[in-house]
Amino acid sequence: MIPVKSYLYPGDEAAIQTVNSIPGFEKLLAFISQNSVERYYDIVYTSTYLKLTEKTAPEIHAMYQRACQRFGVEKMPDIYLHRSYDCSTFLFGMESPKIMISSSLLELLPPQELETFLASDVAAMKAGHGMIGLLLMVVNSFGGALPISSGLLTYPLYQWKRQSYYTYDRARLLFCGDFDLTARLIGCGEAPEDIMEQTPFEERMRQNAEFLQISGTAGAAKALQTLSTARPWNASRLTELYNWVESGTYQTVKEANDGLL
Amino acid sequence: MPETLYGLDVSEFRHPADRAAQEAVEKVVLVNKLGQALEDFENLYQDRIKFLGDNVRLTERNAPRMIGLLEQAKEALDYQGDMELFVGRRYSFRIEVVGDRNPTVLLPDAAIRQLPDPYLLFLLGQAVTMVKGRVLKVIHLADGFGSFTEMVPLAGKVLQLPLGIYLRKMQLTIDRGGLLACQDYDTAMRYLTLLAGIPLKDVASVDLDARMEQIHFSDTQEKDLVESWGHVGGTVFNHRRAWSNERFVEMYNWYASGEYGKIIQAHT
Repeated sequence: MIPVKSYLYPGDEAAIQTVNSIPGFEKLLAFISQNSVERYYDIVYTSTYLKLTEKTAPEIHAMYQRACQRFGVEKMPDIYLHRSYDCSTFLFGMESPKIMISSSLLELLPPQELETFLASDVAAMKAGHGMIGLLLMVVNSFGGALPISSGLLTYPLYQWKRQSYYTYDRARLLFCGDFDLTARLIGCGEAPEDIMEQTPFEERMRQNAEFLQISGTAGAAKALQTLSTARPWNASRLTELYNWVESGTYQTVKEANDGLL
Repeated sequence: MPETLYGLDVSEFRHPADRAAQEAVEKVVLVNKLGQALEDFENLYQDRIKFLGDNVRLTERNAPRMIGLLEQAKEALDYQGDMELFVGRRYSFRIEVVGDRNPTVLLPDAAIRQLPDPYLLFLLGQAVTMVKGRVLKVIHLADGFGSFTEMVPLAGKVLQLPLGIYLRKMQLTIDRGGLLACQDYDTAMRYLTLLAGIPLKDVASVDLDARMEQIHFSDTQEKDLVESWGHVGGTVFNHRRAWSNERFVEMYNWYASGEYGKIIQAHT
């Protein structure tokens, strides 16, 4: 089993600790979730999207089963498929977590890449990320009715969500053990496959370095854009993953968990 | 392979309504000053940051086909400046261009995956026309007002109206640039039909004359008050783009008038 500690990104871990340190917050959220949001989306999802089960999508189901075993998740989440050109998944829920996957992932990714991509949601679920998705849904749905600006709530949530992507990437790498494959999944689908095949990793890193070096007024504009989205830049993700491996931490984690991974 | 149109200037094929709209907008000092300020900001900081941070830069090595097509479009329109090309995940056949000074183009991956070369040449010709015609300032300005509209709805909407007119007319010039780059009238008309919703696999078999008849029929029908105002309202609030039918007809008329042929003849 891959332990949560081995892939949890420090900023993500700090956010989880902060939320958990608020007395009663988790219980309150679980109560709200159990009695309203999750039940509502149960109805929406089951009446709108295809649930991927052993019968409807045996291969995908088997992928999730393997991921659950590897990350020590006992109860498999409900998986739904929706039609979308985006290559993405969305995890939410505390009592009965759900994962929504976009159809493009199934169309574009070969089996091993798809399994690695999907496994990260299971890892994230184990790490307690179902709460972020749930909070984002609650704030997006009811934020307008609050007496304070919903931005006050969304910005810290976005910050947490962005950090969680670094956790996803680490979990993927530990799951498949293949750095190149994990790197390909960052921004997958952005370019046609033949173009990605001809884009050497060094070229991507050169572009990343150019992006990360943006400073001054442009740097401020970049920071503003970063704040307004729940997704980190692909450049930042690739660099974080690369640094994790280059610093030797990945290797140390692997060795410390030898036999578990 | 399209021919190089030596010495071609965008003013030669600028749509008269585009020119008139530009002159009207430029008379408003505030718009000009704001335009300049936003141009400085947008040019350098906004979308290029997104492209650089999230998308894949196209180079001779990873996308020789696309770079080759860009070079063909530049050569056809006699533009020597540099242009950076990125690809991003979008289900769209429309191109995004930012920055007069560091022109940067984002091609949707769907366009690269699906469109045949002549269509891509048309799209890249549009991009080159935007850069060469120095119209990006207005596009950035409209984007800037778009954000402003969210903060001050009524004032923002009022400011957007003249810019909307300008942008819609500018689109007609940009389409002409696309045709001058690919130099294939059929491609241009079928690309404009693709935008009307026909699937790519069927676009080659569409009867273009039948589309023209539909437009003609619609234009010549008597309209009651609701229909007339509906059309005006739809045009005004559909502020970023000209109607697909309008673009189709304008392209048809321009080609049929012989203007296109004259430009090709004069510059080759």
